[in-house]
Amino acid sequence: MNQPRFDRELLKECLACRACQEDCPLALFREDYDPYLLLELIREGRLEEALDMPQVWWCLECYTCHELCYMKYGMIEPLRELKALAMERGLKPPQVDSSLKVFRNTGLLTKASAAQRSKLGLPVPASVALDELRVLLGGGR
Amino acid sequence: MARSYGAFWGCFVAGRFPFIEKATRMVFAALDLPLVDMQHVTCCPERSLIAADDYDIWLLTAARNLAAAEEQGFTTLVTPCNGCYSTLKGANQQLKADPGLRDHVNQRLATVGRRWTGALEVSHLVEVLHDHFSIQELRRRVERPLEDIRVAVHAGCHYSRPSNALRLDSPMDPTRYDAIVRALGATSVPYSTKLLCCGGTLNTAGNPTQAADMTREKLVELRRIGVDCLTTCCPACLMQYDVAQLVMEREGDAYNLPCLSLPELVGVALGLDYNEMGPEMHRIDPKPFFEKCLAAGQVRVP
Repeated sequence: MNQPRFDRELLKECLACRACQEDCPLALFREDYDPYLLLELIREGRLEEALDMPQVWWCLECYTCHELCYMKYGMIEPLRELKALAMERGLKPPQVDSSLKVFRNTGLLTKASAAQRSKLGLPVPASVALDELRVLLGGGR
Repeated sequence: MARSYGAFWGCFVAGRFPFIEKATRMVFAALDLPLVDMQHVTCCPERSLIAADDYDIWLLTAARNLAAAEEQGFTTLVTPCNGCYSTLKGANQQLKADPGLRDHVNQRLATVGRRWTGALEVSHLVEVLHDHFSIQELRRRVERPLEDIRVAVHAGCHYSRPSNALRLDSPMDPTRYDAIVRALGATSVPYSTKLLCCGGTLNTAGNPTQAADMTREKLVELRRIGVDCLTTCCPACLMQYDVAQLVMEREGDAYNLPCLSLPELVGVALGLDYNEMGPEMHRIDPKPFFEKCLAAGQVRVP
């Protein structure tokens, strides 16, 4: 079910095209963000060098490149795989790590503030199916 | 067949922005649309975080939420959050399109007594107002038209992209949100950074300064052209524009631009009491904006 990691043939075409270079809002905005540099490192198999760059985490996942790509590929796909690879190797920013822990422990990303909710006259929040999530996460009931 | 709406509020709305939940409930009630809370929820889950960590878990968790909503008998699961919409609609579409994936997912869901059948429709709040309820009917229900109110619509990236999964609106030129704003009597102001990402993701990557730089781009343009508010249907974008402004203000760079969620804006035009919608929970005080709306909108004689 996991998607294939990196399609080097497709990356070759992607790097030959570069039509979305002018579309990535972050690349247009920041001189120190060059997504093609990351893609080149991936294509050349220099994954360690790519993973060492803080820019691994910068893709906004806004899907602009994906939307405008005639192959419906866009830089987002390989850049997301790069993030996944970094995660596997335990190279995550602390914010990402702590959010993942909260998700696994509570089934949610944010705990509701009972005080704020009652101030607005809102009912208790929906029940959380944490037992079911734990089974799916492989932790057992 | 008439739709029965289940509400999927999501972690951000229920947890950090309960005023969005409140305004949504008030709008549904005012429009006579019954809305029942979905139970047995988990995080949708948030895509950029969970799918990058484990794609399988992302899909299974989303499918479990969909299966639980199906079992509660809703025809339509509605969410006021772009992130939840993107995940739940995306996963639903993916499961509809791929029988092999569906079988695999259902085998796993069977371990928790669930089954995804595909009977459920996932709808964005914009879709409910624009397509289900209809613009014409919404316009008829407006009691305080927002005449001469200049609104900057920021629908947010995951409202319409990726369009091959979401199929809600044009990915690079969305129009539904603007149509709602116009139905309320307000002006949806065209501006060049309209589709620019809020930059919020950069916070998660540990770069709040970079995120704020991106957020500022839009604020600078909106100050230059002059608008009364920014409105968005994404709680993450709302947080970015509202909270980041407070930080900028402390640094001597004040914009004072009220940021309203879609249901708050609809609510005030429907004549609902904004004080019940928790205006004090915003960082940038929206009360002067609401008062301007009330002054602009003469009460329609029935």
